[in-house]
Order: sequence, then C-alpha cells, then structure tokens
Amino acid sequence: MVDKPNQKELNRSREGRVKERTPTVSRFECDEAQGEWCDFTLEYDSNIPKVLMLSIVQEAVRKSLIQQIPGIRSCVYVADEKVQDAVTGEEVKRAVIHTDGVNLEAMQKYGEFINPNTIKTNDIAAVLRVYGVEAARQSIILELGGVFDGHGISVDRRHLNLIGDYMTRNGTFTPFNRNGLKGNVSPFTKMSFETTLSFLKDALLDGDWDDLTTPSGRIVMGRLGKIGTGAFDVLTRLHVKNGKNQVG
Amino acid sequence: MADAENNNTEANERNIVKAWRAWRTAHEMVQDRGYELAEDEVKISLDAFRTQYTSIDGTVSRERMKFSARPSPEMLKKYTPPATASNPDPQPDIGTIWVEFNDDTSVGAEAMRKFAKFCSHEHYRTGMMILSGNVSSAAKKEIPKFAQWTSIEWFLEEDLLINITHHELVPRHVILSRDEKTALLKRYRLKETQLPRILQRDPVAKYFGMRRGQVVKIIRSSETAGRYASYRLCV
Repeated sequence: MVDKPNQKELNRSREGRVKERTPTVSRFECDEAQGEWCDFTLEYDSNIPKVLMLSIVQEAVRKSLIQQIPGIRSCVYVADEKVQDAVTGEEVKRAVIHTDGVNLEAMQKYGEFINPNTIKTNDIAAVLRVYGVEAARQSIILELGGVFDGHGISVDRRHLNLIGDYMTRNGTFTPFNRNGLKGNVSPFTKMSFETTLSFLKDALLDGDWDDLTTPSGRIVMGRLGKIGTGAFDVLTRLHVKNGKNQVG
Repeated sequence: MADAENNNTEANERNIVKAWRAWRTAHEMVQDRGYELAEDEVKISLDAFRTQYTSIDGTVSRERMKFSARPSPEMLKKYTPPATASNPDPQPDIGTIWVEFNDDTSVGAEAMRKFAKFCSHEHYRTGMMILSGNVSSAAKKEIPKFAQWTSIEWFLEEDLLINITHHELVPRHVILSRDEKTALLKRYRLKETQLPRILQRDPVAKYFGMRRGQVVKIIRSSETAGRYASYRLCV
C-alpha cells in the first residue's frame, strides 16, 4: 500500500504526457502496477465526422505486437474437458487448450505451460513431420473415430485401424480416396471404388490388365475372393461306378 | 540499463534451459539406441547442468557439451551380422558414438568435413552433431563421403527440446536384429517388400538411427487385443 500515492503520481505524469502529445484526449487513466487496462476519453468538435473506433483499435493492436506464435490464431482454455486417456482408454477430466491453427514445433517450446506429450491435432501432415508415421496413423484413427462418433455412428475400431494401416503403409500417408488408389495395380479395384468410367478409360488406353487376385477385382467378375473360405477348394472322392443314387 | 541487463539474463536463462533439454534428449536418444550411459548422466538436473556447462558470464558453452558412449553387449549382438562360411567371425557394424553440440548459426562444408574427419580419425563409428543453426546443402554432401569410416548424423537442437518418443501417440519401437528379421519373414512367409514401410527420414527412425533394410517392431496398445505388434521396414 506504500506505493499507492507513488502510482497515482506516475499516472498523473503519464496523463500529462499523453494529453500533451494528443490534445483530443481529455482524460487518461491506466493500470500502472499490472498494465492490464487503460481508460481514456476523447473529445472532438461536434461537427467532426463519425469516428469508427473498431478499425482504429485493430490497426493499433497490429502495430503493437507483443508476442505471437506463427500459425496459431485463437486459443480457448477449457478448465475441465473430458478427454480419453490414450494409454488407459479411460475418460478423464483435464484442462485443455483448443487452438485454431497448428504449430507443433512452437508448442514444444512451451513445455512449462502445456504437456507436449499429449498434443493432438487433426493436421496429419504436421504429426507425420514431427512425431513420425506411427503417431500419424494413430491420429488418423482418432480423427476418423471422432467424425463417426460425432454423428452417433458406431464403427468398430478395427475398421479404422485397417484404414490407418492402409493409409500409412508407405511410410507417409496416402489419401484414402480415388487419388490415393491411383497407384493400385488392379483396375477393377479402382473401378469398383469411384469414377468407374474414368478408371476404365485409363485402363483401356494404357492396355492395363487385371490378374484377379484382389478381392474387389474378383467380386466384380462374380468370383469368390481368395481370402477366408475362398482361399481353398474342397475336393471329395466321387463314386462314379455306383451311380448317382447309391451312397458307397 | 538495468532493464537491458535483466533482459539479457532472461534470454540467457532461456538459452540454458533450451540447451539442457536438448542435452537430456540427446542422452535419452543415445541410451534408447542401446549405448551404455549411466543413469545420472541421462537424468542430469538443470542445476548440475548449469554448473558444468556454463561459462563465468552465465552463457552456455556449447563447445564443452560433448560426450561419447560405447554400445552395450546386447546392442553389439544385435548389430553383428550372422556368421557365414566365408566370414566365420563377423564384426559388429556398430561402434562408439560421439555426440557434439555446435552453436554456429550455420554449419558449412568445412566445419562438417572437420567433424567427420575427427570422428573417423578417432574411430567413432557414429558421429552426431546437434546444431543450433542450420546445415548448408554443401555440408550435407560431405556426409556420404565419410560413410565407409563413420556415419554422421545431425539434429537441430530445436527438434530435441522434447523427446518425441514420449508422446502418447508414439508407440514403442524396437529395432530387430538380422536374425529376428529373417525369422519374422520366414514365419509369415513374407517378402521384404510386403512389409509396411517407415521412411529413413521419419523422425522416429532418425531418433533410433535406423538404417535402410532394418525392420522395426512396433508395439501398440489396442482396445480389442490388449497389445499387439506390427512391423515396418526402413526404406
């Protein structure tokens, strides 16, 4: 409490300086100790055109940049959000920060404030670059699961695991759509997915062929897939001599 | 004046913490690869680090931050190729590692050549350079020239501020020995190319210093199966 008069004095001298520099300011007050707020009044002639404060403030804020993290636009702090623990799978309540935009490298520098080992993002490419292909696979599965859960559709995690495995099998990630499928060797598989005619046209023009080993390719031709019970044939001994009604 | 000094010490402090974190991650990395390091070397506290590696004026002296480590017997075994008729007593293709920090803003070909020469001269099989600045493309071209004597790896200090393998999305990676790899391919009747892949430039592959053709076993936790293993081939 000792420095209170001191602060008032400081405030008054600052007010004087501000008023001197900008004559339109008629009153000025600010938080000298914390620097958290500033309150001032502007006085203009009554015949002056309207002053739009918002754009002026925006410009001032842009000019007085204090700290920024590239790529991160807005942040929201949630004190107790339900999150699923990645290790135990249980739902726990934790304090989290949601951000608009991703900058994983910068986040690692703020280890004192956030736990860098629990960062999650839907930017799979960023995860791949910073944490590697296995983390990217895990993110794909989590994000896919999140989309389905959000719509109340229950999808078995094993389907998503399969998609994650397929997308990351090259060490990077391939999109799971007709573009990612372009590298597939089986034209019928590609055709049965999407844009049948375009894939058929490409196959014709390139003189491509299908050896009918992929499950989709075989289904297109009305054959059993070479998987599961289709992987083998059952042969049994026929009793030709005994005629068809006799069981020998 | 006092303000500027204050700013200076603050920047210094940040620099020390940065160097300390990278130092710890580098040690963890070397230990995770299978080299022998004492536990107190790896888990050095900030204060101990400060007394050891800062100069009198309070700045980090990165030229003092260097260490070497010998491979453990298990690691030697893992990296020894199987004996053949022509080569009944194969030598392990792994040896002592040398780790050095560098605070140049940019590492050129000359500095890289000097480092590689030093590593090959001292018979270090692996040399690791941890940089605060960047590497020039000419310097990168120096690395393969020394490949037959020593393998040079480089990391940015910024990337080592945290240990990426501690992230909850990164499962445990275990590198397989050659014997284990052949056993795996035989058991599942696979060709090498049928395995899923991991790139050599993948951050986790870099962390473990994986070489082309090595197979890494990935132990994931699963909701349905508890724990299960998957494999990736380094390409």
